Amino acid sequence: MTPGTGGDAPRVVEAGLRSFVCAYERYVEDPFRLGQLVAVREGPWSILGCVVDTESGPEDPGRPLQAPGGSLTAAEVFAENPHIRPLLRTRVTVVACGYIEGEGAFALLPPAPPPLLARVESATPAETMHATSDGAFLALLVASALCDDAVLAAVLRGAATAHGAAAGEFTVRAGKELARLLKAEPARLSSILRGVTA
Amino acid sequence: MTAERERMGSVVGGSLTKSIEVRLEPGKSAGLGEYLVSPLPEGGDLLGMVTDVLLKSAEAGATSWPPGADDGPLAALLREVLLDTGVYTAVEVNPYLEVEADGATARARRLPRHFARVTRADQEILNRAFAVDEERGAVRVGTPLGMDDVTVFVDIEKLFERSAGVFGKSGTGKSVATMQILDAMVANSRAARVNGERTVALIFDMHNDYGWDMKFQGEGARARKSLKQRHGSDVAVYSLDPDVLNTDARLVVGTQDITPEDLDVLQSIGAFTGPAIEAAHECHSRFGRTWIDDISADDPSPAVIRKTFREGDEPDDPNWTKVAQRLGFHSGSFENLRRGLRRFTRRGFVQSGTGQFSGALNHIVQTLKGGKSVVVQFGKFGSDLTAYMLVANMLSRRIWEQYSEAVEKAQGRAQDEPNRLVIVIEEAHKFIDRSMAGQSIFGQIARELRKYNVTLFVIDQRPSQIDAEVLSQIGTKFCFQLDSEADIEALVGGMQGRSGLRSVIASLESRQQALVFGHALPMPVVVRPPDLTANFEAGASLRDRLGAPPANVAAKLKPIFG
Repeated sequence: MTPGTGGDAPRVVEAGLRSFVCAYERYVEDPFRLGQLVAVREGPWSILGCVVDTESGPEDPGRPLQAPGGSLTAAEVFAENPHIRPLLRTRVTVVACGYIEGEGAFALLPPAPPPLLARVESATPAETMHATSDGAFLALLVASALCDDAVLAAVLRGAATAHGAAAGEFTVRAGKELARLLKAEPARLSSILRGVTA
Repeated sequence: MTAERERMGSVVGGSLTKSIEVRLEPGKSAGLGEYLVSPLPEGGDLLGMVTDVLLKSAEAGATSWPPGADDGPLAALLREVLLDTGVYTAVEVNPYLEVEADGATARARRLPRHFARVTRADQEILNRAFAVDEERGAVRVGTPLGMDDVTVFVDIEKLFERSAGVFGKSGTGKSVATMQILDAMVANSRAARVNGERTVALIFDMHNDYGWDMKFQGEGARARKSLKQRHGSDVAVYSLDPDVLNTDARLVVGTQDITPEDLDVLQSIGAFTGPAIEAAHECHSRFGRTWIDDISADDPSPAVIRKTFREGDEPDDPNWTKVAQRLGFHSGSFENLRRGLRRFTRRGFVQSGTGQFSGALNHIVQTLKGGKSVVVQFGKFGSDLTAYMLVANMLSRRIWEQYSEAVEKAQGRAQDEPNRLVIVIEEAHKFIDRSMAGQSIFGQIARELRKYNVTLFVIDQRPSQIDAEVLSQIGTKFCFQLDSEADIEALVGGMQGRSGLRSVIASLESRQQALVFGHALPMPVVVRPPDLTANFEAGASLRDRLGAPPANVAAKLKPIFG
């Protein structure tokens, strides 16, 4: 199964033009991965975004999760306490990095935020290639305060995989775009590319 | 339809009086001396020459913290990513020429706009830039760097309208280039309909290159046919050395033919001191035409005593010291003069008395005026700079006097004026250095421009030693490799974009690569001169060449003239 789908797709629970938050119905151990490109396909256009953060915790922040004692693993605790899982939630923060309308992919903010409660799914390899091939999608990510070097490295790594045999060329092309965006800031560029080549 | 030119980059800055900066597109490279083109805002193209290649950084960080030099994946990726983003290659291009769509050219007075597209010049635009009148004679100066299918020609008439020069270190190809230019000139003169249209050369051939054959260091035979073999009836060869073969006549200088003015120029090589030359003038004035024979003798002759001392004042035991004292010379200076003259008269081409110099001189003048070029070969005296300078100075002064008289006498009637004469001298800086330029006939010829139909064609290794005023009168310069900063500066001083030209000269290869610039060319050009093959053809008039060009030339001409 594709990571993050977890059977039930998360839905948009907070929506903005630049970022949105989606939540799983309950706690999942395999949510969208850091840097993964996701898509919201409900509405006149498909909004593409990059996972920048994932957090899990109690649904009610006023009732913090109590850690049980003993030597059980997490899976064993959940198995022995099936009522716990529905009280927990996994939330994923996504930064928008473009949208697809008809045949065109645009490395721009979407004209409107994704609809609330819309399903958020993994971008297909075709969508990923379409949206990332010229590296322009990086501009929105670099401009976002939510997006740090680890995210950029992860998204480049993931997108490169989608490019298959042309992964090397894609990495260089995207790296050049990144160099322009970061004005060749050596420390950040090195840090990101180190994450790409790791 | 014009083929699309190769796209190279875009204009990112610059200045009309210095250079424009062109940022190259990824993967493009351009070398010094290559031509680039950019469209001008109001139409037409700007043609310029690459004078510097720059490695630049868009941001300081990229070069302050460069990627590692190792082969690890991160360093390799960083290097590749930063190329053409954080760092890039740019070229400086000296703007020289505006080329309009109709082929008209003019000196650059406008610049392309920022980000204007820059392309590599192609044959078509260079043809327009360097076009010469097909009816007029032209010499092939070579192919521009990186453009083997293009040949640049220079209009011979324009080349020698003003003085010209070939400069470069020893062994760079000066003699070969000079031979090719002179060969074209002689061929072109032969094709002239009337004598007055001919340009002839008086060549002082120090190393015996321009007479029968020329020593050749390239591939194949060790010698190449030179002017006499190639244009037998249009070239006369005189030799100072009786042992030289294939000459038309021998040149002998009589001691009575030499005047103190002939010796002036020898001060620059230390053959005579200034006071010694002053003494020579006084001796010539006092003793007449025999002055050299008189003061070269071991002891003063009765005639010398008589002309030196008043009657009754003659010393009992006359000697040269007393003669010097009587004439008011410093004895050391007088001895310097006598020693120098005696060294002189021991040379094989100097004879006591009148020799046949006057007759030879007249013959040379008539030969030149008759439309034939003259080569004066020095044979074994070629390594004797004093001999070379004396003879060149003697002949040039007298011939120039005759030419100037003829021009004055013609009073503007073109048909009565003598044909154009080009005097070719080697080691020119010895004749026209800073101290001598005012006195030397060669300095005068350069300064007079073509007023008397005489110009100079100088060949030299040390242009910085040539008087600056004279050098500034050298219209067209063929510059081969030079090492000395001073020599390079001397040649390009005052030129537009001289710092760029300096770089180009400094980067020339050690052989067969030259920067040609000045009066006869619309813009500087770095060329590889034609090879001096056994069947070398420098060319006559373009019309003739187009009529029946030799097979090896036809291939080069065709792309230019369609």
